[in-house]
Amino acid sequence: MNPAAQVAITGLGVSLPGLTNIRCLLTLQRPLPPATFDPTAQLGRHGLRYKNKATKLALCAVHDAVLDARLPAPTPDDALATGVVVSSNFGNVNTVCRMVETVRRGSVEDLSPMDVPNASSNVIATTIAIRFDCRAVNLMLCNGASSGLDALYMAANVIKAGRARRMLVVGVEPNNETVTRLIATAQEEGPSRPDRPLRPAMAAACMVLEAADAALERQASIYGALAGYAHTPPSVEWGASVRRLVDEAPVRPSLWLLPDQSWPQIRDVTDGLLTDWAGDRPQLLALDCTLGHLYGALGVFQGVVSCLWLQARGGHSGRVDQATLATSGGAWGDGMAALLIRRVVTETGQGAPA
Amino acid sequence: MQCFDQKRFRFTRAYEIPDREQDGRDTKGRVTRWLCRSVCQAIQEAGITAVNGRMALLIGTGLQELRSLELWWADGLPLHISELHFAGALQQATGVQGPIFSFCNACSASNFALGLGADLIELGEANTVVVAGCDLITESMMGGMDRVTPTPPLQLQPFERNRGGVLMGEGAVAVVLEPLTQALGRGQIPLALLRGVGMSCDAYHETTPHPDGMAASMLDTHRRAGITPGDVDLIMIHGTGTVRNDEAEAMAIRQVFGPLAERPLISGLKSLIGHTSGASGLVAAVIAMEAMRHSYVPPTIHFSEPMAEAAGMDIVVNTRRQATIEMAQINAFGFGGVNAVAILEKVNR
Repeated sequence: MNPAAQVAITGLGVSLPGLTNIRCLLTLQRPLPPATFDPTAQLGRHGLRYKNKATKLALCAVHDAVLDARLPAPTPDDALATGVVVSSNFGNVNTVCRMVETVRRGSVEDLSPMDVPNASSNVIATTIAIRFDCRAVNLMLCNGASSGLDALYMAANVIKAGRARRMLVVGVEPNNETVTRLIATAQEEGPSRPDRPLRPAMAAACMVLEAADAALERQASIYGALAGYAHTPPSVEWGASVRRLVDEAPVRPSLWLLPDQSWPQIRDVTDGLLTDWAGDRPQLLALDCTLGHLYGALGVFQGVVSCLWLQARGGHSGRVDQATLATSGGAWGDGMAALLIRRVVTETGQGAPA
Repeated sequence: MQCFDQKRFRFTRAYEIPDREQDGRDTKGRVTRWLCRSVCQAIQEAGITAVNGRMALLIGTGLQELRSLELWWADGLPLHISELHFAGALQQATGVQGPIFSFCNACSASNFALGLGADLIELGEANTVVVAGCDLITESMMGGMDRVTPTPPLQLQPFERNRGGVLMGEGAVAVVLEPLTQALGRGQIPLALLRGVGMSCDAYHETTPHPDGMAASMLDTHRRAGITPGDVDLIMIHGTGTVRNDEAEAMAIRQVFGPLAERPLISGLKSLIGHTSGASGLVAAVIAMEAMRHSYVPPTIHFSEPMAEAAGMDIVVNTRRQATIEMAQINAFGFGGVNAVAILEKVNR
């Protein structure tokens, strides 16, 4: 039994310019219209001046998730209360490239000291900790396309290992000149469809994970619980591990969030899995079609959408015990992760962990 | 410092691995190559002949392959996004079938990986975990360090009164973790026992460390390891030679150890090899294991006088010292106040 089953999801937040309501993620049919990103509505103006875009996106998503989870304010003597895991691959690439360019044009004297924290890959995670007083474990995961789901898994492990009672799990990717050029360069060699060039997303999502008993004790509203995880490294066939995860699941998923469909070899495996799917086929959702290439943020967005799905279906249609399957990875030759999220509705209609 | 154009830097020194092209040109993928070599070496030394899906691989790194990114951006070297990550190369090099995770937790990254790797075993998620750390010097981070250091240091002098700052280093390191019974069952005598890894976050400042956060990670470690400060014979300090880290670290040691702060031996490894960033914690852990096995503690070199906060502490200075070490504490603290401290116990053969 995967130990992640004892970890509940109690809060959701996203930061996605152009999205007015998080619930629209379930029904989005086409890309969002271009919109400017203004973090001051949620965060105020103070303390944002030298923060990079990825950090500001992440802070906004955390802000909403913490409100949604109705988390109690941290107390000074409770160091183990809250930890952070952030997943991002491109979080600091722009700062790094700008800094090296500055040095090459002149010298180190031309660098801004304010850029130094932003050159560190973990600046997003530590900035969240400072702003939201998270003094437990603080992690930055840069694990490629599977990174978002890996972050959820690691957060669950951290809770189970008693390193934090709750975790803020964030997936975030910025879009800037460096990212655009990196993707354009990589695309020249494939693997994306030439007729559908990748649109790098600029977005952040956050989920609040808690020890299920602690969540119940504070009468939190629970979206679902982590109910299984599998990870396959690059170059290893991943279809079998996803099939095993689904076959061993206590409830078969009614929604499957697909990995980025721009890669033909990913589509081949997902098509094969669907062909052999035992029983009712799940509804399919490929977030990249509407939101663009979310890369390290995809897994957390999939987690958020899973929760919204479970919430929307809870108590309806007689199928009270529902689950979703999220799969992220494969892009750019990265590893693949799969995560099951399950909701069990009790007799009182209250969500409870599996 | 041979890595970068010297006229653009004030710093003149760094602890580099001299494996660039003969004409001095920098090449991509250096840190990936070191990492793969260390991991393969560790797997081989552990006597593991077959890898399976129950083996996980955790990497702690501060700067990842960001040097390759810099060479792409500034020098036009071709780069594919996959080259920014280690997993593909590691899978090819090791054949590992289980998960591979890269944690980018600044200068304490490999100690975090060590603790999370031990968690995977304790939670039954894996039966063998390879934990690795690696880092190389990037132009952006070296430039940033140079920019914020008042006078370029010529030496890295942990806990020294007149310390002038940090010098960057390069390296990769790997260890294999497995349950003791499993290791003994396959006839392996472990190099050391990992008693626990404690973690905390200062939640204080992006770059300035805070002693309370560091102390919290030490207390967490002692609690997990089931030990008290009096059990610790050796502290491998993080000791970056910067004014702020060393001051905060010494204060944290005093906070946790109280009157016993002057009992354990203290070794500042970075004076010998530079600051290997995300690799540094696990490098110090490996050196601590060697210190236990050979009963020698490596010295803190370039040392003349302790800083006030460390006065009276038993710092092993300038030459190695013979000593029996049963229990060692390995400190690692990173940018943003991310703290991870490990306790290792000697295996008496």
